[in-house]
Amino acid sequence: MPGDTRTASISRRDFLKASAAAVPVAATANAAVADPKIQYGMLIDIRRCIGCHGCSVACKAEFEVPLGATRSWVEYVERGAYPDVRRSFLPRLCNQCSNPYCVPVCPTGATYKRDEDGIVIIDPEICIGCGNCILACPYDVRFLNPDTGVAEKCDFCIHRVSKGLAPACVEACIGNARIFGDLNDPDSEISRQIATHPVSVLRQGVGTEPNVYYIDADHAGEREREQGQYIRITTHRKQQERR
Amino acid sequence: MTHDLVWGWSIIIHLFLVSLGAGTLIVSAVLLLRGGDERADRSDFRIARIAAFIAPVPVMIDGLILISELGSFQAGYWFKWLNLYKTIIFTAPMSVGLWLLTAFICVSLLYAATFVFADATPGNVWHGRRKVLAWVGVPLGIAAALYPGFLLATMQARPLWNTPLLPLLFLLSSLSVGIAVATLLRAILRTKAPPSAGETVHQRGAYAMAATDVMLIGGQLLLIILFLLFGHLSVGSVTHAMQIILPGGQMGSLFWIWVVLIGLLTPGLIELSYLLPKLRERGEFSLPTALQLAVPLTVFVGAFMLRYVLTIAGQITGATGI
Repeated sequence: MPGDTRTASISRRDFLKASAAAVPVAATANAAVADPKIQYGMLIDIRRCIGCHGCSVACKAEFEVPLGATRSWVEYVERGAYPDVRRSFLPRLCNQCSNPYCVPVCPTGATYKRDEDGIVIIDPEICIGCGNCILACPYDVRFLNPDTGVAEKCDFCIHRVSKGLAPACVEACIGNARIFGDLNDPDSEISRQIATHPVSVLRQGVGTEPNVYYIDADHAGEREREQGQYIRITTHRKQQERR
Repeated sequence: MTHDLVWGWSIIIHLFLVSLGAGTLIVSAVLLLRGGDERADRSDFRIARIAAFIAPVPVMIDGLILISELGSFQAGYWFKWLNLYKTIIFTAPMSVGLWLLTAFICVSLLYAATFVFADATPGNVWHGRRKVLAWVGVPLGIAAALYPGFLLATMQARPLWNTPLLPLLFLLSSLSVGIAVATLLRAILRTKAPPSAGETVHQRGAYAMAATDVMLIGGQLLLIILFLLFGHLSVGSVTHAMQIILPGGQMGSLFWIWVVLIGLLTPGLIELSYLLPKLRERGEFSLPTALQLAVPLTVFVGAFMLRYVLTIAGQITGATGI
């Protein structure tokens, strides 16, 4: 039927038009995948950490962190019974999570994850110091600065990173235990190390998708202690116990 | 154990005052709407009227306490809290709660105003507006009573709080606190001006209130059992966090003695023992005036301690392992 032919003809023409239009769309999509946004992350090689606290001190100096508060700290984890014993160090900082719990609960929108580099930051002009984000963080990395009255935490030294420098803790690490870089760049040092080593993140079960990775981290905690193992954790913070 | 509490007394008082205001408004509105103005002795209307005056006060005081406890306020930035009013973030219970409590204060103040003007008696010129505001006040009060539970329950990092049972527990507790306010008012008003007529009506009102309270207390006990059962049957962080309120736990005695025994079982059993004769159709309900004063006080103590224990216990427990 002529009508049918015409319909088929229009359909073919529409199909070709749509196909032609789809080519640049697909090309754009490919370009977007090929040029992903930066997600800064850190890899901490526990085998290279000697527990010197150089990172903690560098961080304190960089930000004038008030007495009793910590943006970055090193925990000691001791476990086992003689002769089968182990002592290792666990440097801690904000995990700059891909699914941060601290961001949605902020009642003023002061806390947000930056689109350009994936760093979770706090706008001190907006933050009112309600403490909601401090309790929402499963890693207990936030604190209320009594001098400024706002919540603070590690921001990967955003002021240094934006000028092409490494974060202060990375710069200060004498064992080269910390590697900082773009996790979305497969050729970056951090991505290559993560691809070639068994790595872990802290409290993976909570689902925050941390961007701080560890090689050979000791995840021992209360569970192992309840099973009868000797576990001693020294936090080197005012908060003497992990929360 | 040494722990820094991020949320201390101000939040504990906040959780209690919001519940007190919300519960009082709901009970006032319900008393009015279920015919408080038509009773022979008008006792329900008088209770609804005074409860309406009380309802906005704790929430307004609470707002001042909260602002004064903000980190920015304490650091000398007196008006930075106004940033809260520049936005509404639906994923943040505190932001939604702020707007909700602001609406609550406005509605409860307007509702209270309808009882002040001119001749505040049933059927006066403000009668229609009073009823409309009461209808708005009930859902608003329920939302305000649920909010403190939501604030805590939505924190996934705090295993003790992270359960949907918590908002419901706070709601029932708020309603129980509201009834305690009304019971207290009923006892005080009756002492002041005993109605010559309408004694039966008065007792009927007291009976309905006590019966509702027993159901609310029963509901809270059931929720606590479910809460503990949930912790017992879970694994990992929740089970570990729950240890803190179990007998022998760091806050176990506070929870079991002050919340369960004094705050729930004592008022519940007292009210039930006086309800039983009427329930079994072997007598009338008559709660002595001394108990009408004592029972609400135990409810207040229990509700406050529930918030005290949960606020602290939830903060000092967290996910297990690292």
